[in-house]
Amino acid sequence: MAYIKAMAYCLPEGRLTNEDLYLRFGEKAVRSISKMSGITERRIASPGETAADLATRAAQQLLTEQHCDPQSIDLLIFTSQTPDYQIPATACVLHERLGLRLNCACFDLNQGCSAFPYSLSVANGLLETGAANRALVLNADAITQVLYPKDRALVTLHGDAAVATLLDRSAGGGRLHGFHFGTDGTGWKHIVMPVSGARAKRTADTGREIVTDTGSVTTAEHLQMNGPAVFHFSMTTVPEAIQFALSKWNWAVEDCRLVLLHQANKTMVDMIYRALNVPPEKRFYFMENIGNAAGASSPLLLSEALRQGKVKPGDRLVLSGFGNGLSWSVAAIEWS
Amino acid sequence: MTTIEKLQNVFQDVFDDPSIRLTPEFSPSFYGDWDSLATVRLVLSIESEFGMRFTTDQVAKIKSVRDMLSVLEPLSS
Repeated sequence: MAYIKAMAYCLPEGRLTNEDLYLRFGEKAVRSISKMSGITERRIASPGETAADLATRAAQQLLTEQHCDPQSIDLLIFTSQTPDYQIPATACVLHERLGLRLNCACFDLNQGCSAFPYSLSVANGLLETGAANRALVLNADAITQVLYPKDRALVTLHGDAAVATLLDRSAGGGRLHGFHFGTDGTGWKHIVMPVSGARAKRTADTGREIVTDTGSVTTAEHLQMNGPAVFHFSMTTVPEAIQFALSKWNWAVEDCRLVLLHQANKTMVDMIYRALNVPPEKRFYFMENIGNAAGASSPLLLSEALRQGKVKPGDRLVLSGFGNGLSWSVAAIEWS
Repeated sequence: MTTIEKLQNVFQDVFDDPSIRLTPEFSPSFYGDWDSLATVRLVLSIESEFGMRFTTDQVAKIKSVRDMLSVLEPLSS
């Protein structure tokens, strides 16, 4: 199995506070949502600033901190749902920006909030087979740029971020112990940008403001979410998936230093923690002043835990992402 | 106790409002505190009280008490 050698993250300069949102949605509504979400400020990309821009900065920081020659990277995976282009893969754009060598595999993975274990497992597979020797995994989303500004449910939750992770096969660091994945495709429509690809084309009508079944004001060209359905999915599926994965690895919550969950919102995260009987000392949060950073959320959480020195050699971590698809993922990581 | 009476107890408990009187038409537009998070709290309480589990699709379609009854009543018959 491969090892996580180091991580670095980039948060955009822009900040959107609860007070900024009072005028848009009303103070009472914002306070009520903030109490539920545990989010008081969101880091948001500037107009024109993309997930790839954030990923570039995270990658450059990581390579500099690790004194890592970009020419030593022979695998780049860019995992995002807000790429720069439909064609080509944004990983190729990043290949140029980062000055990587010609003999370097570059591709995008399209996955939402369950993205991090997916990208780690793909990198692990390519490293394990010897197809690559040193991997740079970039998880980045600028999800706020696909939100309709009047969508109270989503604007109040989301922020933007990028995380860079360096991996290779040499011993030391976060050993990737195992993965578990799941999908319920019957629920794909519960988080969707209806007019965003080949299935439905933009017309004069698709930019028209609409009110969804759950009362959100949005358009067909923006991200839409059925909040109750997604919350229910997360509560019923994620604890069972984590329990299943732990038993598959013969691990238990008690064996883990931290249980790291996608930072969807604090109420949901706490309900999953309670369902798994995770004690307070094994819980970790990083959303209050960041927002839900979509696919970058769970790597951001791990990166911050490392930065704060919460992970020591010998520690076991379990990490889970879940979201659109409907999709969920669990990774087991053992630090050495 | 009928299904709607049992459901009414759940609503009164979740909203901490004993004055709630349910009809099939009762919906968020009738009751201001019934927002999307309240739907989640209601669903989780109903699952516990009725000993059942909604599918995610059923939760997605809840817009009124009638939508809840359409799932719960066949279970009690």
